[in-house]
Amino acid sequence: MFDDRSPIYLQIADGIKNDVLSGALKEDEQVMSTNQYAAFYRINPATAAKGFAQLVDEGVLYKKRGIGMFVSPDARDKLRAARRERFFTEVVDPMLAEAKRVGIGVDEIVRHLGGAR
Amino acid sequence: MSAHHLLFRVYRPIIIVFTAILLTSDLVVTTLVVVGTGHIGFSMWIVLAGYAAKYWLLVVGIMLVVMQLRQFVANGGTRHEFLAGAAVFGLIVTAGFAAVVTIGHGVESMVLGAGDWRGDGYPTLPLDGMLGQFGQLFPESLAYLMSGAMIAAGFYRWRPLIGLVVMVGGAIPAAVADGLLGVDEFGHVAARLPYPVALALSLAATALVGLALRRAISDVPIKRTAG
Amino acid sequence: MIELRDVTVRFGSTVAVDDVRLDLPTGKIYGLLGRNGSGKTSLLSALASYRRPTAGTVRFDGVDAFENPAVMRHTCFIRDTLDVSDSERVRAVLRVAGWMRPGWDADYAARLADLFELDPSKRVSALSRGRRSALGVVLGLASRAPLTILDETYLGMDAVARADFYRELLADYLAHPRTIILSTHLIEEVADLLERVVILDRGRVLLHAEADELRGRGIKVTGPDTVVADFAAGHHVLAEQSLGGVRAVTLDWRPAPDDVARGEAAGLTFGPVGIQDLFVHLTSPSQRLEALR
Repeated sequence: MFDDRSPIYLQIADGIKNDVLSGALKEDEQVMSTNQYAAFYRINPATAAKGFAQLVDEGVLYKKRGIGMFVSPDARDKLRAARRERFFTEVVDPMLAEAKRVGIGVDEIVRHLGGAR
Repeated sequence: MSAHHLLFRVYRPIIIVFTAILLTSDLVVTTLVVVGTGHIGFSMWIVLAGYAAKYWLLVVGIMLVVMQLRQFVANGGTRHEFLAGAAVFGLIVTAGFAAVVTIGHGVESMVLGAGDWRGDGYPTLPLDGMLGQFGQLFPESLAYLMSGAMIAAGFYRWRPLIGLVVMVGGAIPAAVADGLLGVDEFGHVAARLPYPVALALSLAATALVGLALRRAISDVPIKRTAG
Repeated sequence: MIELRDVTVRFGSTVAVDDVRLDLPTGKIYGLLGRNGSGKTSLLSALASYRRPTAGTVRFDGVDAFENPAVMRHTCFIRDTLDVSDSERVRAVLRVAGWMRPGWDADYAARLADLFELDPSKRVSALSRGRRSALGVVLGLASRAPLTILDETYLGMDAVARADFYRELLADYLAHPRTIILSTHLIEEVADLLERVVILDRGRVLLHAEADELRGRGIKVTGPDTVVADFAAGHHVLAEQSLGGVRAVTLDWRPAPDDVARGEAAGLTFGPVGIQDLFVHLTSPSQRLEALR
């Protein structure tokens, strides 16, 4: 489930963000408690709590005291906006760099993408 | 649970089995001798139970240090709690054993007397002699228990060489008690000194070694030894 | 809070624990890592008052722990050798723990014994190494001691039993939070369960950090000799190897995504460094050699 590339709490946060983006987690839907999450994924609850705290800080989740944590109503839109911003720098630019290394021209890429339309 | 409660629970089955074996052996041997020769010239009970009370308590003293201390600390007790509990346990068990040996001897003496089976050398124990015998056995058993514990503590805590030196010191209570209060199978007491003096010396030796034991155990590392 | 203040444990002229100062907030799961002979067991023995430190003190919430009845009652130290009588039956060992331990859960102990297929009527001496360890797990978990120390309590257990052990440990910790210290060599297996990690090296604390922070703390960089050298400049090198013109270095550094992108553009590849790798690099003698150069 988790790898060694980065702290687990960041991977937890990313996983939940992906679920929100994909719609697997809906607006105002309750997410697992840190203890449930820890037991399910076999991780330390403090690590899970840290991941959730990060999401609360970023506004993806909100807390209802004594009940649990829920997906913020605007979380999906905010995440989409942020990801769209990063799309070109994080996805397209590396692809272009790789294309250049192996000698694929932009025209060829555009043609390929045209096929995907 | 306090240490003496734990020790009684741990030792209860052992004590019961041990006492049963003693009783059975005494009955069998005494009966055989009486049936075979018509009378018995010594007290099987004193031979068996009298010696067993001493040597078994010596072994108990050793086991307390080698086994139960570790068990007690590993379950969340302190060494001081253990020492206090072992003292209570030791006093009660030695007193109990001395009483059992005395009463058993008294009963044996009475039964053999009633059947006219007492031989020449048999150490008859009249009712008014019982307190005296208890007074010999109790401090002697106590001394053996203490010697066992101290000898074990020497080897448990220190290197074998130092353990040997401690062993000599640890044996003092048993040696003093044996020399001054010892009773043989014919019921003869060594009685080199008047009883009060002998008792005082024996108890003093036991108490001194008890203090040394307390020092040795109060911060002893809990060893990994299996056992 | 558990505080070790300048704790030293010496055996004759051998220094097993060397002036250790450590603050351990309670209620967390700690991993104590260290190579053989690094002083783990000696440190734990001092922590559990099995041994009075040669110098220094162990304090619980400000009071000296040694021979303190309240502290010792709440401490459960399970050594790899197990402090039980070999001649006793498993049932008797558990019964004694039940008498002595204020938090003992007999039902839970029975369930655990069942899980590990530990026959209560067997004598301890007849148990295999793995079952012996399982008995240690049962004693350690069912005691529910506020400070539970498990010193390599997995020896001889197969992968399935170990997985059961880790799952039960976490589940019971979630239900009954307490301070648990796991001393282990199988770092990778327990890394996810740990909140904090203490690495001991030759009697000293080499590192005390949040376990999760160690993940991704280092990075492995591979590429052409000179490019790698450029990239690694100014960063602590934990390990390196080269073959032909290719060099691979392990750095104690967490580069920003921009740095990684820049490196990749220059032809470098990056690989993760797990907690286990980090531990090996930090405590291996070649690393010390490296530091001396």
